[in-house]
Amino acid sequence: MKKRNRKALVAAGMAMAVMLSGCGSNSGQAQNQTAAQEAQTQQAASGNAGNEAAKETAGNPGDGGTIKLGGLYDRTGDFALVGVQKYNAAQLAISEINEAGGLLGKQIEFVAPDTQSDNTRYQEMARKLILEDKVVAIHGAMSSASREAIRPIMEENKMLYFYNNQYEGGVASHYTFCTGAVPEQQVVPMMKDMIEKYGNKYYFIGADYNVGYGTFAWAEFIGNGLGAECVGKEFVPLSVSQYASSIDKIKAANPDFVIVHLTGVTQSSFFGQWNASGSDLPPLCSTFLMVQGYEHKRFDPPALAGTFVTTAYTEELETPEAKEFTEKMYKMFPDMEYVGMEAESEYTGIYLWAEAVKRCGTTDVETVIAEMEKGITLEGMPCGKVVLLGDSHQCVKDIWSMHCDENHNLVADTCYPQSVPFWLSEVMGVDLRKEAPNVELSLDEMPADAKMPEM
Amino acid sequence: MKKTDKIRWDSSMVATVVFFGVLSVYPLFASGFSVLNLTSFMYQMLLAASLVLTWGYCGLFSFAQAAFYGLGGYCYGIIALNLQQNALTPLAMVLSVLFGFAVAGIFGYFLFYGKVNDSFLGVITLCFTLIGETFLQQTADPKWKIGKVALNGFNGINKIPPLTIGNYPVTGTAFYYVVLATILIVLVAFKVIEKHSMGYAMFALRENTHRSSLLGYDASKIKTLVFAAGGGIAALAGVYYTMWGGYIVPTSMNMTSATVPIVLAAAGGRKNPIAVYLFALIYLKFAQAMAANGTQYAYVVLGAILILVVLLVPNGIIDTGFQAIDGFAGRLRQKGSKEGGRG
Amino acid sequence: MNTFIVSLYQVLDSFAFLMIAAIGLSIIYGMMGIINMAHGEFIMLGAYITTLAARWGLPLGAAILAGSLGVAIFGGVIDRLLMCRLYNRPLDSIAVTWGLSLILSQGMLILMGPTLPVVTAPFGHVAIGGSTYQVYRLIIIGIAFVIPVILYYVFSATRFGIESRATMQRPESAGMLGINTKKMYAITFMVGSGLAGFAGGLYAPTMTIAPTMGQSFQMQSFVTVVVGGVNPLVGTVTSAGFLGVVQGLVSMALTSFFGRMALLLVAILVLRMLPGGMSLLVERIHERRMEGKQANEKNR
Repeated sequence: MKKRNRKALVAAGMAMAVMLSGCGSNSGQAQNQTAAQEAQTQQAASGNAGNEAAKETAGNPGDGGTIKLGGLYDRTGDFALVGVQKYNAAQLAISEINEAGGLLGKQIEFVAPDTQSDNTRYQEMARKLILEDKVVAIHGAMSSASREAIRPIMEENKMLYFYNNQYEGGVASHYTFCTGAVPEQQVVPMMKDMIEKYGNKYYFIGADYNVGYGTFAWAEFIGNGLGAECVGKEFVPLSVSQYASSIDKIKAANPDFVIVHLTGVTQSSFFGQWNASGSDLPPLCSTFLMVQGYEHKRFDPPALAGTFVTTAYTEELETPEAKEFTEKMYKMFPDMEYVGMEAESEYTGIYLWAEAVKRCGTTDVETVIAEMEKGITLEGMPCGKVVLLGDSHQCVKDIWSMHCDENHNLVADTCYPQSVPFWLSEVMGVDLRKEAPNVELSLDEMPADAKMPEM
Repeated sequence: MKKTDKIRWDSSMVATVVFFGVLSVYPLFASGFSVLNLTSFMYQMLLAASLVLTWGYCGLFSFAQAAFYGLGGYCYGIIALNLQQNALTPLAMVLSVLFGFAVAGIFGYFLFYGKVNDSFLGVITLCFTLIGETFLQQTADPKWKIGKVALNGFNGINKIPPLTIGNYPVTGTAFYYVVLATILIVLVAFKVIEKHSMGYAMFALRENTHRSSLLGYDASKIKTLVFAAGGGIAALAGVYYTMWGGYIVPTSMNMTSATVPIVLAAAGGRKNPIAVYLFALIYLKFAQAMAANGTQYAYVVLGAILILVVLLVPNGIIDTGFQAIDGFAGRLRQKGSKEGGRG
Repeated sequence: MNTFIVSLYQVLDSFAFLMIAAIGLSIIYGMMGIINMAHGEFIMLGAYITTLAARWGLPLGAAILAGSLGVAIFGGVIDRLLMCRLYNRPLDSIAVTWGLSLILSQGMLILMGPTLPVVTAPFGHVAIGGSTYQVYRLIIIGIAFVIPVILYYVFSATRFGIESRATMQRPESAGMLGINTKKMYAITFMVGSGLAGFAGGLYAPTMTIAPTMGQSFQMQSFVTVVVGGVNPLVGTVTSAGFLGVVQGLVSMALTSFFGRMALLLVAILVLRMLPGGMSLLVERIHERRMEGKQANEKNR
C-alpha cells in the first residue's frame, strides 16, 4: 500500500512539475497539494473558476487609459510559418501607433492568444476575447477554415472582425472586413502573364481543400475568358508527400504551364521531386507560393527557379515603401525568417482600423463600421496606396507579378496598379452598406447571365 | 445481486457527490463565458467516458473515439441543416447517436469477429480515424453534397442550429444543464453496469480474453457491443460539440483529437469514470490557460503526462489517489474498532 | 509499352516506400509484440540527423549512415529508460510510445523550428521508354530489394539471427537454452530504430524536413505491418509487395487519396479474413506443400 502511495505521489509531483514548467502564470493553483487532496481542492477550485476568470482579465474598453485590441494568430502548429509573420507585423503596427501617441489619446493593449493552428482553439479564443477580455475589434486567422469557424461567432456577438489574408473571395458580412487579395486581383494578372509568355494550355495541381477548388474555379473561369485550355487537373490530399504519380500525369498531359496551389509543409515536398524529375519542364505559377511560406528560402536552388507569383508585397519588392517596411520588420524582429505578403496584409489591416477609429472618435463597433463603409484611402503602406471599399469591405492594392530567378530571389516583372476587387460588388451585386447576408458566396452561385468586366 | 446492497461511501462516491453538487449550482454565480467554457469541458468528459467503457472496462484500446465524435457531429449537422426545422433537432440528435452506434458496430464486427489482436486494434483504429479525417478534408469539391448540405471539406460546415425544443433554442445555461445531466446519467449507468453480469463479462474479457471465451463468454459479440456503445457515446459528445459551436470540421478527428481522450482516461484512471471527469476538468482548464499564454510546450506536456502516468501510475493519478484515501480511511476504521472492542 | 513501364515504376516506388518504412517497425513487433507508435518520429529523427550531417559536410551516404546510427543509439536509450519496463505490457507500450511521439515532434519543432533547408538528391535523372525518372528513386527501389536479402542472410546464417528467431518463436525456451532474452529485446529495439533512422535518411533528400514529416510514413507502415503479420522478413516483403501493387495502381487510376483509402480497406479485409496476416498465409502454404511432399514420398 505504501509503495503505491509513494509512486502516486511521485507521479503526481512529476506531472505537476512538468505542467508548471511549461506554463507561464496563474494556473498553478494545486502546486502544493498531494495527489490525495487534489480531488477535493479541485471541487472548490472549479467553483471559483468563474470568479477567478472574471478577476483575471476583466476590463472595459477604453477604461483606465487603454484600448483593447484582440488578435488570433497561429504561432505554433502547421500554419506557424505564416502566423508568426502576421503576429509580428501586427505588433509592429501597434507599437508604431502607440509610440506616436496611441489612439484617441490612449495606448492600445494587444491581447493575442496562440490559436495553435487549431480551429476549435480559434472558437474558444474568439469567445474569450469577446466575452472575457471585452476587446473592441479582432484581427486575425489565416486559413479560410479558421475564418469560417469564427465568423459566425463575430456576427452573433456583433464584434468587428478583420480577416487580413489572401483568400478565395466571397465573404459578404456586415462585421467582417477582408483586406487581403482576392482571386480577381491575383489570378487575372497571373493567367494573362503566363498565357502571353508560354501558351494557352495549362495543368492545375492543387491541395484538396477549399482554397484549392476555389482557385481552380477562378482559373477555369478566367482561362475560358482568355481562351486558355485546361489539359488536366488533380487535387492532392494535404498529407501527401510523395508525388511520383502526380508528376507523371502532369508530364503526360504536356501543358505550357502549370498552376500550382499546393499548401502546407508536407505538400511542399513536391518542388524538390518535380525539379529532379527531368529537364525542360513547363514553368510553375501560383498566387501565393514563396510569398507566404517562403519555399524559395527553404529549398536549395534550382527547385523553384522560373516559378511565377502575383502579390501585393513581399520582402524582395524594391519600391521605397516596401523596402522601408522590410527594414522595420527585421529591425524589430531580427530572428524572423521571411517577411511576406500576409505580414503586409496584417499591418495594413491594423492601420485601416486605427484610421477609422481616429476619424469617428470612438471604438464603438457600429460607428466604426459606418465610418469604414464611407471608404478609406491610406498612402505609404508597404504595398503603396490602399483603398478600402465600403460596398464590398475589400481593398484596392497595387499587384506585382514576380518570378523566382536561379539564385532563388524574387524579381518583379510587371505592376498592375490599383487592382480592383470587382466580383463581389459588380458581378454579384452585393452592397454591404445596404444589406449584408452574412454568408460566403462562391463562384458557382454566380447568376448565369452575369457579365465579367473587360479584362 | 442483493437488493439490499447499500451504496459504498468511499472516496469516489464522496467525490462524485461533491463534483455534481458544485457543478449543479455553478451557473448561479459564474459568468456567461465561464458557463459556456465549462460546457465544452463537459462534453469532452463525455468523450473520455466512452473510453472508460471500451478501454477501462473491456480492455479495448481504441483511437477511433475521435472518429465517432466527428461522425456524430457531421451527422447531426447534415440532418439538422437538411430538415431546416429547428424543432426537429432532437430527432437529428437521436439519429446521430444511432449512426455512431451503427458505424462502430459494423467496424467492430470486422475487428472482433476477425479476432484482431490487442496491439493491432490500436493501430487499425488509428488508421480509421486518419482516413476519416482525410476523407472529410477532401470533400471541398462542391459535388460532395448530402441533400442540400455541402460537406465543404477542410472548411467544415457552419451555422448548424443548436438543440431546439419546440420554439426554444437550448443554449447557454440551459444547454449546460443538458450536458451535465448527460454525464451524470452516463456515470450512473456505468456504475449500474459494473454490478451487472454484463459488467463482469467485460471485466473478464479485459483480464484474459482467451480464458474467458473458454469459460463460455462470447468474446466477439460482447466486444462488438461494447465498442458499438462506446461509439454511440462518442457520437453524442460530438453532437454536443456541434450544438455548442454551431460548427463541425474535419480536424475534430485529427491526431490530437484522437489522443486527448486517451490521455484523459489513462491519467485520470480509466476504470473509474469520476476520476476521469475530475482529471479532464483539471487538464482542460490548464491546457486552455497554456494556449492563452502562447506557450509551445502544450504537446510536450501532454506526451510527458501520458508516459509518466502509464509507467508509474497505470491506474491513473486520481484513481490511485482515491484508493490511497480509501486504504488510509480503512486503516483508521480498523484502529478505531480495535480500541472500541478492548474498551 | 510505356504505360506498362510507368505502371511498373509506380508499383515498385510504392513497394520500396512501404518496405523501407515498415521494416524497422516490423522487426520490433515481430520480436516483442510491441507497436512503436513513435516509429514515424524515429524516421523523422533519422531525416534530421542526415540532413544536418550532410549540410555540415558529410557526403550523403555517410550522412545516411550517421542518421541510422544516431537513431539506433537513441532507440537504445529509450529502451533503457522506458521500453524495458513494458516488455510484458503491449497495450501500455502503445500509450507510452504515443506520448513519446508527441514529445519528439513538438520538441523538434521547439528546438529546430518549423523546417530545415533540404539536401537535394544527387545523380539527376535518366530517360527510360518515353518518360524520365529520378535516378535517386531508382536507387531507393534497388535498396528495397537488397534489404530482404541481407535480412535473410542475417536470420539464417548468423548466430545472432538464429538466436533472435528462437526468441521470437519461443521466448521461454530460448531463455532456458541460455539466450539472454532481455538483451535480445534491447538489441532488437536498437536495430528496429536504426532501420527507421535509415528510412528517414534515405528519403530525406526527397521531401520537406519538418517535425511532422514522420506522419507521412506512419499510417502506411502500420498498415504494412498489420497486413504482414509477425514474421518480419516474409510478412513485410509480401505485404509491401501486395500493398505496393494496390496503392500504386489505384493512385495511378484515380488519385493518391484513393490509393490510401484502398490501403486501409485492404488492411481491414485482411484482418477479417486472414487474421495472421501474410506471414500466416505463407506459413500455411508452406505447410501444405510440405505435407504434399511427404505424401508423395510415402506413396513411392
